[in-house]
Amino acid sequence: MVQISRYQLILILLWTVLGTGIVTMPATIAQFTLRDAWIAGFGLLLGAAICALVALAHVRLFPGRTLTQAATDVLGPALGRVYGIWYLVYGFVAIATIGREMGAFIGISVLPNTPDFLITAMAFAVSMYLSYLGIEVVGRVNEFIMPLAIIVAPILFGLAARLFDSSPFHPFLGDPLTAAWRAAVVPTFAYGLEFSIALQWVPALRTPRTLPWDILIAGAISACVLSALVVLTVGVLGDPTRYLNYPVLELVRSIRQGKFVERLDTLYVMGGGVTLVLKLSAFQLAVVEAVKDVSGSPERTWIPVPVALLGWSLSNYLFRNVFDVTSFILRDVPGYFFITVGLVPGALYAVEAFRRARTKSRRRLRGT
Amino acid sequence: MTSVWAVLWAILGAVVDFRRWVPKSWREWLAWFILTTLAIGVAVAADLHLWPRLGPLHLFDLAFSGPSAWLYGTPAGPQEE
Repeated sequence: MVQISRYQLILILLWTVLGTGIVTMPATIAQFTLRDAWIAGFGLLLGAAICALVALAHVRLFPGRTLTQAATDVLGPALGRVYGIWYLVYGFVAIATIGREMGAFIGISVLPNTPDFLITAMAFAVSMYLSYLGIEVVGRVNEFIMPLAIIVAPILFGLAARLFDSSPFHPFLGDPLTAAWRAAVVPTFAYGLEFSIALQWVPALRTPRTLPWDILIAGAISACVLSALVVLTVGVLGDPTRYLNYPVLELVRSIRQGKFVERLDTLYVMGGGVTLVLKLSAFQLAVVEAVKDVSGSPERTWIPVPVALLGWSLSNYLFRNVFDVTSFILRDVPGYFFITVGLVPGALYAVEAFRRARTKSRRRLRGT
Repeated sequence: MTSVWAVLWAILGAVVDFRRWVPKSWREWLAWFILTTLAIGVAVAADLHLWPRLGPLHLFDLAFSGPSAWLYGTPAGPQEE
């Protein structure tokens, strides 16, 4: 089986979270606080810590198994399939949300006359082919865009930093602690818990034992990047950040250097589009593995087409407009993700650990 | 001598080998059929604007707005107090 390195895994996780994180998280954080917005970005680290704990239990108890396979091992084939279907619903809802966010973002920013469903159809076709080619190819594409991101992102944000004003952050930590926590809920429980999709890739990891550390590393990097981005956005745009759907887009639009360097937002939208496609393909990889486990199939090559088709249809059906997406992420996703990829897998591992401890103690008793 | 079209066709065939996209066992066909039927049904529903009063988003809201509000630490959830 083709396997991926730790470096590739960290990159995939990084772009999985930052793909939509860069586009939407500054706006959701600004709904609650501007003064303490910088601290809310570190909620990603808390989400990564929760996922790392779950991953630690997983790789100790089920090395070389996916989450849906582990559920079948613990609950038996029938109940295991029920959890598998629950996981599939989670995966499809996540894919639909990412697809709708992407369609709205590209439609609003650069293609206002193109129907969203055409934009998402192209994105789903590309991500479907990536997920068909497999996790190693997705890892390599992530490796390929990394140098570009390292060069382009600092230039873009360095140019924007000239307009930075620190007054929106004064007084330091001036908002109540509850405002900072509420701003951190979406980064923690909606985006931070997305790191858990790596549990579906465990058989494809060259070193599964390091998965918890890799999740923590990816969480720390993405939390720092997000926090820096939020600070820059609030510092440059100020109070209007609260009322913008895509504040980072406006941040990049504000860049002007002489007469020749302006309207760099197209560059940002292209980069954002690429990371969103990579995020879509990462989730499709996880869902493909879940479909493979639930259907009991030894092959995975037939799965990407129906998965991409259903994801695309749902992205057009579930959310009628951007308001629906934002409301869903703010109101429902934190609780939904926390239960689905935090509490339920945690309960599965607790049951398995208890069962193993009981078997061990029985053997000891028989021995004596 | 091999024709250019034959070479191009061979490359296309290697890149998009449709035989690999097709399910083989009855279990695979069943899963493929369920997913594809759902996809077509949902696409038709979106095209005909068939949104029931108690749609999937409402159901998600009923089920998970409570746990989310608990995470926010306020009974009102993400709304301003």
